[in-house]
Amino acid sequence: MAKEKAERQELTPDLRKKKEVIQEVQDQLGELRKELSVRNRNTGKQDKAPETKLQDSDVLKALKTAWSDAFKEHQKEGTSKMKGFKQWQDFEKEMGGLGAADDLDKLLIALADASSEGEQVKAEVPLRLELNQLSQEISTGQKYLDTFPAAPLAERAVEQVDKLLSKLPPEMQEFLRAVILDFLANFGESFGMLDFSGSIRFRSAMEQAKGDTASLKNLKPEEQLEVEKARVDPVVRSALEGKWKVLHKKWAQRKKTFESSAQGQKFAEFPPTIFDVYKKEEVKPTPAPATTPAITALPGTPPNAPSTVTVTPGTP
Amino acid sequence: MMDLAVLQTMIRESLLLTDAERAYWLAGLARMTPPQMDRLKSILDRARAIPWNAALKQTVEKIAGAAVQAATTAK
Repeated sequence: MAKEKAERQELTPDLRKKKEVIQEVQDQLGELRKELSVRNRNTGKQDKAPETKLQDSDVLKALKTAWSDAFKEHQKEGTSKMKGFKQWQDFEKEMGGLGAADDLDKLLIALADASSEGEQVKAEVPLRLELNQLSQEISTGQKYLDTFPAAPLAERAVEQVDKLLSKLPPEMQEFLRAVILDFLANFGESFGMLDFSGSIRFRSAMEQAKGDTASLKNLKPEEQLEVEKARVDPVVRSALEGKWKVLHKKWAQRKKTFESSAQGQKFAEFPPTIFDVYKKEEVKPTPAPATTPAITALPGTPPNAPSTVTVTPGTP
Repeated sequence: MMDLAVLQTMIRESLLLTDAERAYWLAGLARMTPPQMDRLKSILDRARAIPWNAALKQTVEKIAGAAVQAATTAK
């Protein structure tokens, strides 16, 4: 207790606030885990069906294998990089959630599996047809489904997330939005991801503050620990991206099957495409052709001054 | 008699709809008869009961709620 108090006093107000936010989120998630765990135990028959289904699920196998690989890789690299600073076990304990609760995993994977099988779409199709019918009755000839084709689930989820977070301070919004998007993108292992994602954002703010490696020695022990954790980051990120690619491949296959079906003809977009959101971010800008005149502003040019156009020699 | 405020809230919170659709239905309420409003409510009720929608809403609200609580405490 005294140690904890001393640690809190040594932290900067900003750092302390961030730590508190992370702790609060983790506490709430712990409660959620417990609730879901109890619910799974109490619902009996109803939960047994998806579990049986999960046993044979390729998605589940892919998830478990990829997560296991990611964990081993991270453990190996993490232990090595943390050497001489803090024990791996302490690190694991602090980060929490790597071995996320089984019950929660099952529930989330069941949801993801249901979505990927198109069950989400199947459930929505009749409702959207009813909306279409209702719209035709109240509007003057507007074709509802043409005007509002089914939007990917992820897009709607992101809209909701933004609304829920809109009243928070901007910095916290950014942090939590990233956390929730990771949650949506990774379903089954979301709570493992959550811990890392939260920490990644936290550390990225730390790195900005610390400047460069030389200043590491000037940091307080708690801050040094965060920097050490940040060094594990690329390994974690790389391993998790591998897992994400497996999922994306599965989704792409199912999307293709769905689109060629009669049901698929009615809806241009097929469901959980949070992956597509990430894919858009991955698109790298195409380099300008060599013959394009380079437009540069001279040093010292005021921001509002017209740009100077420099034409590369040999350009027509 | 359908409570208009309840239906408006349901439209705003429905995960079945996009923002554009929400605007459409909110504007359309004025042209709807009570039975049509009942039908819309029924559609939104069933959408809310889809497992994925329910779980997503609960999780997001839980996380956002924790953040609000943390922000309030930190002040």
